[in-house]
Amino acid sequence: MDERVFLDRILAVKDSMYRLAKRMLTSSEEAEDAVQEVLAKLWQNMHKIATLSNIEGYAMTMVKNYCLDRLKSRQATQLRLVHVHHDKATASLESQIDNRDSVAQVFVFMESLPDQQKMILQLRDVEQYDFETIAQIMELSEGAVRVALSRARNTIRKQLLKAHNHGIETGS
Amino acid sequence: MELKQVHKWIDLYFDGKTTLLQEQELFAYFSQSLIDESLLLYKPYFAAILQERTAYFEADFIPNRNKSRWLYPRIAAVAASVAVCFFAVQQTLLAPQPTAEEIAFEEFKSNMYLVAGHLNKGKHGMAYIDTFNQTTNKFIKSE
Repeated sequence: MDERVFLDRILAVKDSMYRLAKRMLTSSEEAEDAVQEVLAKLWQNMHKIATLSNIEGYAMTMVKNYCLDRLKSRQATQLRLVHVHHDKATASLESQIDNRDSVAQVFVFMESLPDQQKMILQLRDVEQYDFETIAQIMELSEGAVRVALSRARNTIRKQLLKAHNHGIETGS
Repeated sequence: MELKQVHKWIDLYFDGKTTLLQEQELFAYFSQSLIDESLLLYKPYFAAILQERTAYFEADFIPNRNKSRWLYPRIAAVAASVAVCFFAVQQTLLAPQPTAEEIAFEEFKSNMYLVAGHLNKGKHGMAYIDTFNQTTNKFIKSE
């Protein structure tokens, strides 16, 4: 495979790789380092992996494994970034603050999920991959992916309901 | 989208049973400004996901060609060094070893030098022998 074609293919998923790494690791800088390292590895092994049909999925799997290794080795610090940039130009200041707090709270809910559920939620909702692709990336069965996604979303739904009811459990 | 439909899909969504198309419609519904009050609690979630989709990898990736460019010269240099060492060792090991006869000859030669050294001691005194022959006052007259 031509170097240019290979680069085009892997660079097409660099944003997805970055978002997944950012979701799993502590900071944007660490996520950037992760993507750079994975891209460098892919580049070095270009001739070996050029024959794969799904290079993009392979790249995402490498990011997933890299992040899990990083988390396991406890090299990542415990600091977690909260993303607070969502607002609407037309909304009032009070409404903007409310929205921002609520969105930040959702990120906190997402952070609290187990690593596997967090990644699957990211791949489905943010990257909008189908179940087959997610199963390939996560090296799981489609059934396992569906179960994990359902658990992740239901956990967040419960936390949203609890937050909406000011911390009072409703039993729903 | 009808409110009843949204409620139905929201339940399916949180159970992980919606299709990608249905999910896209839900995201479209929650990104509009007018949302039914009964669904407002879900708005931050969809807003967070939409926000997350806008994160981009802004750093540049520059393929490191240096490694592959210098790889072969490095291999060649190491191979040359190994070859030189190999031949040097081989030359030492394969140098012709003296045979038993040669060793015996060398020993004999050194012994002969030793004997000759002792025999030649006092040889310089023989230089006066002509002086004795030329004297006229001979002790023994042969004629």
